[in-house]
Amino acid sequence: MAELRAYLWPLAWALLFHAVALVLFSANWSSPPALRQSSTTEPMRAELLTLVAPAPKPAPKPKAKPRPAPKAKSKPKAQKKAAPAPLAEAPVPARPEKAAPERNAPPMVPEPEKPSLQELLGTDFEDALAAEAGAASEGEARPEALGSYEADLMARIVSQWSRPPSARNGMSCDLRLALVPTGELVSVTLVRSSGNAAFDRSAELAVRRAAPFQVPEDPAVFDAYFRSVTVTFSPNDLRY
Amino acid sequence: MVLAFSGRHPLSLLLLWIALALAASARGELAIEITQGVDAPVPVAVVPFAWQGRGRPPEDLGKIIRFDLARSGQFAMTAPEDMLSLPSRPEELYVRDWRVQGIAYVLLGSVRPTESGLEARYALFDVFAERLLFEETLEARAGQLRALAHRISDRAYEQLTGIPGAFSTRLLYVVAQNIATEAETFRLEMADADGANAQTLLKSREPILSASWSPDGQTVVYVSFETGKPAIYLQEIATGRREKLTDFEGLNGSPVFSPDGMELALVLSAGGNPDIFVLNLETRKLRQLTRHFAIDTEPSWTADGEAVIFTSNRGGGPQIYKMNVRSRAIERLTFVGDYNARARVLADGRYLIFVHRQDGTFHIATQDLERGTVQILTETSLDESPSVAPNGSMAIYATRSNGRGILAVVSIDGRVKYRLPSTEGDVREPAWSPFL
Repeated sequence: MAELRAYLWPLAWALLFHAVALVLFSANWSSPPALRQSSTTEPMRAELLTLVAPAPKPAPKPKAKPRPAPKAKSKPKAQKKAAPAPLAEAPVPARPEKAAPERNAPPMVPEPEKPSLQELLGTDFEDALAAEAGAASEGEARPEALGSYEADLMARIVSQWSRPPSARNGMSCDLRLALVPTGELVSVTLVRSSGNAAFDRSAELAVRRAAPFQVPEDPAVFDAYFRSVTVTFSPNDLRY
Repeated sequence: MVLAFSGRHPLSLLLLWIALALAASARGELAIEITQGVDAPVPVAVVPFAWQGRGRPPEDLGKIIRFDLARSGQFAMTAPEDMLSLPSRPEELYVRDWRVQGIAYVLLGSVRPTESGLEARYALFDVFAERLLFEETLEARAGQLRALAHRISDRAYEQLTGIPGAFSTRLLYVVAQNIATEAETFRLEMADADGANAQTLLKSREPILSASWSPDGQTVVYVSFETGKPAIYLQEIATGRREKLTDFEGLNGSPVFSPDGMELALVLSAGGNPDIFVLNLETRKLRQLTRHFAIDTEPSWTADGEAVIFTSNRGGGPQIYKMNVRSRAIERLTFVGDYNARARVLADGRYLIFVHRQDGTFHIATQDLERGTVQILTETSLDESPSVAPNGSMAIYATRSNGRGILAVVSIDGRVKYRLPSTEGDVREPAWSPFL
């Protein structure tokens, strides 16, 4: 119980940032899958954006005006976060102003800066992940190299995934992978079935054939990100 | 659980609980979405089946199954000589023997003769998950070894793909020999889906055309010119009993059973030019469906029996039309290209498969009836008469190779193609049976 209490603050922060991440995420729920995919394959963009963070700041601010409520909501959160975790300062200024344009995404659609907006959306998720990881592991930022391990894991699974002929676009299942620091796969658990046993099995087979995976050597990073990985299989390139 | 909390500080406890759950998932939560794959054939090994009788087995069950599964194009089969061990029971299977070769699934088993015939015991094993997917027994009459093998293939295929296997089905086709000579003959033949066990249903000196199956697979209908002019016949497969259904003046062609087996759609030209008619097999009453000065031909039914699809040149060139059999409402279905004919609707009702002419050559193509997109499935030319397997995965069609008519099969997505072992003569007009 004493241990639990010690975790209480980080947990509270985790909850907070999950709530933020959830809001950001659900606000874009209808975005095409390719968008979500880009967020996992090109994580390095997060780095780029934090560097140029002050520049885009004035631009999106007026756009946030029509909806002051969500903006006000996200700002105090960021401030609160800055207090206990000073190390995570870099993402802090980026967060509120990114949150603002994202909420206004639909009305902005016809504007020419749409692609960069998509990048922003993609990185929001990354930042959210990084921030919550930072909160969980006491102010540690999301490691830079994480993206390449993530991409490698994904590529390995993709190259092994052979879908049965009964697979259809729109089917989706979630597998939870338990990994050990050597990169070997300990177990695969079907946490959400697609309803098609052959489809679920094809996903499981892809994971088992793709193992072992390359994982970060840093034990802390491994524990934070790779001990348990959830993979969603939802094809969008099938004919049907 | 929530009830227990409700007595004290319900909200804070609930929040803590949610926070714990979230934190538990936050630590180590890498969430990845995979939207693409390679769809390479899955490596499968079918171990030669052990024979538990005296002497040598009549045929290797494993070999027939291997050929079945390989033909589906979904699997890469391991040759028996590359297998590190030859288990015939799941207990004898050493996972590492198969895992080192990257084999995903192993099908193994044995056959033994019984008083009434044969009994096969077989199992399908998932190598990477180290899990038995099923272990079953099946019986068959003596001499039905191939049928037994096809049924095991069906089971394995369904387990691995989520689609029922169609290996236990049959094919109808016409073989023409010595064409344009004195000794010209035509044979209506029936064979297993793998081309084996061919038997002749009818032999004639005059052409046989448009054979098709009844929905129960017990009866066939076809057009025979044996009397010198076309007539439609119905024939029971088991007994060979035949019945002449129509021999009107002019054309009697393209008979097809309705999905309930009660009616036949066919083409008659007694009124002057070819139109689509429906013959009730009980009352023997005919009713005319289309009435047009253009040629209406090659009818087929939608899976629900509500409509008949046919080819008509009423718009100029041949195109596919659909007529509701009750309301008689007509709708044109094909618009891509200037020649679309001999259409069949797939059981899902969404796709049409037909003969499509592009740049002067005839291909088999599908059309998505929702989106209107056309996909050409075959690279060969002069392709004709597509007929779809009852599981909707494959279509058989007639084409030409080295100046001879042969049968070929293509998967509905166009990825898998194979040719049927050719027999003597010209093979044409294939018809895939329903599930038997």
